[in-house]
Amino acid sequence: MDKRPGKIFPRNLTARASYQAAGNPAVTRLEDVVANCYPGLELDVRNFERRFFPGLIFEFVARDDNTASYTEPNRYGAWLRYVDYLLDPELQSEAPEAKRLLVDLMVHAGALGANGDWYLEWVEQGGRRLSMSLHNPDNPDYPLDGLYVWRLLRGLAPGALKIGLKRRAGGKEIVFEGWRRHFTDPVTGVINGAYQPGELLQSLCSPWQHDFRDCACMYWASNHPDAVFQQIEPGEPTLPGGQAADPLLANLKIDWLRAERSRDVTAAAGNTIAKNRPYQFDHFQINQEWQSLNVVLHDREIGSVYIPPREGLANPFASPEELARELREKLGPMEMALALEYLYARFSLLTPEEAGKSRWSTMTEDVTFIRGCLMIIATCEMQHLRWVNELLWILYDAGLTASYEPVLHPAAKLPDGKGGWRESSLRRLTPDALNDFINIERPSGFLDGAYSKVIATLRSPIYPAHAVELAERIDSDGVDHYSRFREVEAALKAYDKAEPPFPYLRALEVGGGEPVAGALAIYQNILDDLDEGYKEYARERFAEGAPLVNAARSKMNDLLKIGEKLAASGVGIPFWPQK
Amino acid sequence: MDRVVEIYLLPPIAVARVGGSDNPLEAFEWDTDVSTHGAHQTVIKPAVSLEVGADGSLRPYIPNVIRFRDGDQLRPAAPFFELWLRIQSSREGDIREERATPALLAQFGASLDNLQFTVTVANCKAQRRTGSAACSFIARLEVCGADHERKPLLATSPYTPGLEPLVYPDRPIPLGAFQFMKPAATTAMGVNLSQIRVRFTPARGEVYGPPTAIAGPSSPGQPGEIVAAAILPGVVHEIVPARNRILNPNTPWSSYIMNADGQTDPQPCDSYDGADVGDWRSWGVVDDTCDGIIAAQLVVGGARFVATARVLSGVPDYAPDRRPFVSLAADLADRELPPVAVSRQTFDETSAEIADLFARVFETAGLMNLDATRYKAIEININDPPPPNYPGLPQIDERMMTRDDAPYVDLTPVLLDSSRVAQESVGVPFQPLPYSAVASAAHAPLTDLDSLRDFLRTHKDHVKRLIRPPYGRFSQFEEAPTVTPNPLFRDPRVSRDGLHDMRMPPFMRDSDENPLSLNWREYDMLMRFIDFLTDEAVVAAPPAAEFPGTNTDG
Repeated sequence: MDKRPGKIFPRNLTARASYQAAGNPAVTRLEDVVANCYPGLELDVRNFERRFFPGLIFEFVARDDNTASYTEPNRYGAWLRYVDYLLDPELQSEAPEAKRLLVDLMVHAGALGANGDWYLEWVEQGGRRLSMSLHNPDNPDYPLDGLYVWRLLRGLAPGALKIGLKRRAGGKEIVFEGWRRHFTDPVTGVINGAYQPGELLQSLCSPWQHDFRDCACMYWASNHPDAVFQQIEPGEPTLPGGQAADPLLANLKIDWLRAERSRDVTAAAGNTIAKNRPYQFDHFQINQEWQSLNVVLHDREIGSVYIPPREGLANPFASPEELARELREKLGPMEMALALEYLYARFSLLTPEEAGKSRWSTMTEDVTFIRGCLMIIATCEMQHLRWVNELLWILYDAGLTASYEPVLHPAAKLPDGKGGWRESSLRRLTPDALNDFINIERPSGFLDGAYSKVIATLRSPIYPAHAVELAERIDSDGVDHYSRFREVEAALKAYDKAEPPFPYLRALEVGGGEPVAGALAIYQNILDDLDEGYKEYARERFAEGAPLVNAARSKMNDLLKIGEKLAASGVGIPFWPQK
Repeated sequence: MDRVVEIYLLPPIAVARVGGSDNPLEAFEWDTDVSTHGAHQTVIKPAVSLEVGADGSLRPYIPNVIRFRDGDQLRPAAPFFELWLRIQSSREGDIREERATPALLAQFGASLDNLQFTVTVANCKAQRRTGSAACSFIARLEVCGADHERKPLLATSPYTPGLEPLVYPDRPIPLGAFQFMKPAATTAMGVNLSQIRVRFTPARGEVYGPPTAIAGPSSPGQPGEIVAAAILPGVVHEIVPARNRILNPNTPWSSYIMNADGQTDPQPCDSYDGADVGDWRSWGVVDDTCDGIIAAQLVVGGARFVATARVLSGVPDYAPDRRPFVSLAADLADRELPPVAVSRQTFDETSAEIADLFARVFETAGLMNLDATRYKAIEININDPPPPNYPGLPQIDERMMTRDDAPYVDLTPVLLDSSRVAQESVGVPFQPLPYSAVASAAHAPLTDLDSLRDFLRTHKDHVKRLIRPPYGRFSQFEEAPTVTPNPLFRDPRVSRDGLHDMRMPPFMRDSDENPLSLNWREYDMLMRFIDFLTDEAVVAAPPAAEFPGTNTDG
């Protein structure tokens, strides 16, 4: 991620907009304003096009919405609201085209003002003329809906164009030659002076709180969240990174617009608007209650105050070679072993269809959750393996290590979370296995501590600047995995007294021989592709490496399918030789 | 002697955000969390803030914490604007830009007495709907250079005989406040305190109405649903607090009903208190947001210089560390600037911009209820008869983003492990929002630049197919559009282009109620960047649709 201050990118900003004034929080910047609108949040960008042509103000008359019927088809389109040549600053210019247009407008102002049914009939720019009254996709006999017209005008470039106006009652056209105005001044960056105070917000909801409650569009999540994590109360334990230590609190997404803010009556957000609506602030109620809505940081509700976190630092490795050794001999193989352990554990779970046949009414939903969870975590570990390899080839490319060889073998041993080690093991998701997963991902456990050292090391300026980002992401994911596994633990408590035990698991044993030959062949192909692909990447031959990595990914999907089929018949893929 | 050639205000446009607290929000900037467990996500970082003294003077400081509310009142965002001068050198004629300070003005024989600020802000929401100018309310203020008192912006309605004013002259609506800060001849914490600054403080976020806007039944329906006029279900809530029921009940705003014949309502039309319930009659409610102009006038040696800036005063941002991926900044750039130059020379810069785009996507995805928006999008597409789809395009019904939406769907069926094809997602205890979870998981790795570049390289065709094309430039539209959609751009006259599907961004609405896309400029940049990653030679060709007569070298 780019580290430039303020995340400001001048190339993509209009004149002077990159400036950051002292004392102004980032939320005063235009990068924080949502642009898509129906009608909008901070402004309605469609209001710019009302004055796209100097001296004329249009309204975009449209149906209720784009699926509504055409109740007044002859009224839809870009309707000329009024002529404003007196106050439009672009018509006060000495430029010949401005003077010409001003005269034209003055000459026709009477005709345009005498009747109230003048509409934009066509627009021509760059030799291309588009009709605003033909080619309505909903009915060829109707002129274009106002919002269709707006969209066509939205595509205009600043500069010369011609327009034709015509009365809906019929009659001659009036043609004007002019230009699409600049909406911001190319030098000062200020919004064009033609827009009067109040014009840009005029089509927003009145009051705005109405929109907060009632917008059907749900597109402002970055400013008006849909679903968030709950606030952590002072004194409640947290994990490094700030998540709640309680896995339910850490992972439960709740509806941000809920009316009851107490945690006691807060449930998970529903997966449809209808499910959430009964528990949300009502119309009118929101007029008073909008300040009860929580501010959200890092996707989690906070109270009144945001306290920037402080960081504790680990001791770095003494040299790039020591760092590389850790990555190559310990962390990379561990990531691979974990990915495969998690994947195997996932294969051991009943599918929702299989669980549906059991006597447990909750099992279908629980295995759905746990299988999804394990799949995401296993995929994440595979990404980590990739990133560890990437760190190694970054070190090599920077001349900090002598060589790079892909790390694509699983570790034989993994930390047991109690200061010792255990054998890497392809097991079903029994409580013991789950406990091992929790322990290895535990913050301040071995992995977390190891990556903290990696991060501390990579912060030295001798290392390429972006390398540390990869390590930070791996470490941060670990905290999420820990929290997720604890949620799985909570879910499986429902079955901890079951007889026979583990009713959510398949009878799965590590297979061998012919039944698993096909799966192992695919697995080996994946490793071969990754091996070659990563070597190409290390040589900065990205075009050559990309198809190989892509092929490996594709084959992974095949492996998942075949693995699932084998598991359904009780056979687990032997990702490594069993003792 | 050097000469003043221009004065200007910075920033040229700023957003104020309402809040009930007397204390404005302190300054913070967007930064990257480089802590061990920060995952390199965007965070807010306290920045130099300016405390305003009783006399209008400023004291800079960096807050240790950022306080968002005082008690139950949110802090408003109140932007500062700085005055700058462009000065022509008398020696060589070159132009330099300097902060306007009393000392600098003195060099030109001027002082604060030669400076005047005019602020004009207005709320025209009721006017827009009723067509009566007397339903708008406007505040105007003039402040001379020596006056550093904070002044309220009190808005009333303009009217003439025969028109009823919505806001009475003796009961104005405060739209905020304006203050000309008192310069001090010193610099502290890197802030030149002698620079001429002003501050706009937004209003408190209150609602106002006529005496009749007491209480009413709130619609229990989903957004956009209309409750039958014969029944009035739903809880009765207070609409406007008693102290704010000060508006004129005899204006068209109190009798406005959406969708009446002959009206030119803004769209969506049900955007006022009173819509969609009962007889749809407006309760006559307005708010205290506004937009307007701050103008500075400086007279130097008999010559008048004018600078303006725009202020948009609106709603709070409740997730200040998350940024929209379709922003006003980008929208203006899309309207005004030529296409982005993508080349070997600009590779690093373009990479950073693309990476930031995907970071913003991730930031939005993390707060979305994608399950609910997907459900809604399918509902929006439903029609009778069902709209036609076209070969090669994504599904537009309950198959959206399921296994049956190949080749567009990629990760979702694997991660969800679901063969279910239905409008409603399979929300279960512990994972009530499966699509939302997958969205975050899918986008998280793409916030890393190297991973993103690799992803774009290895998935070039998939990404190009998966990103929804924007609506075209005018020059791209055919005079007579075809029925079949164009894969490179959308056309509002092509019905299929207005239907929701799983292309990215999925299930979000745009300004004309149609599916959202990246804007044209960002889409073009992304597509050419992808091509550049895979074949530099391809990118040497200029983009298909440029602004005529503009330089595309960025």
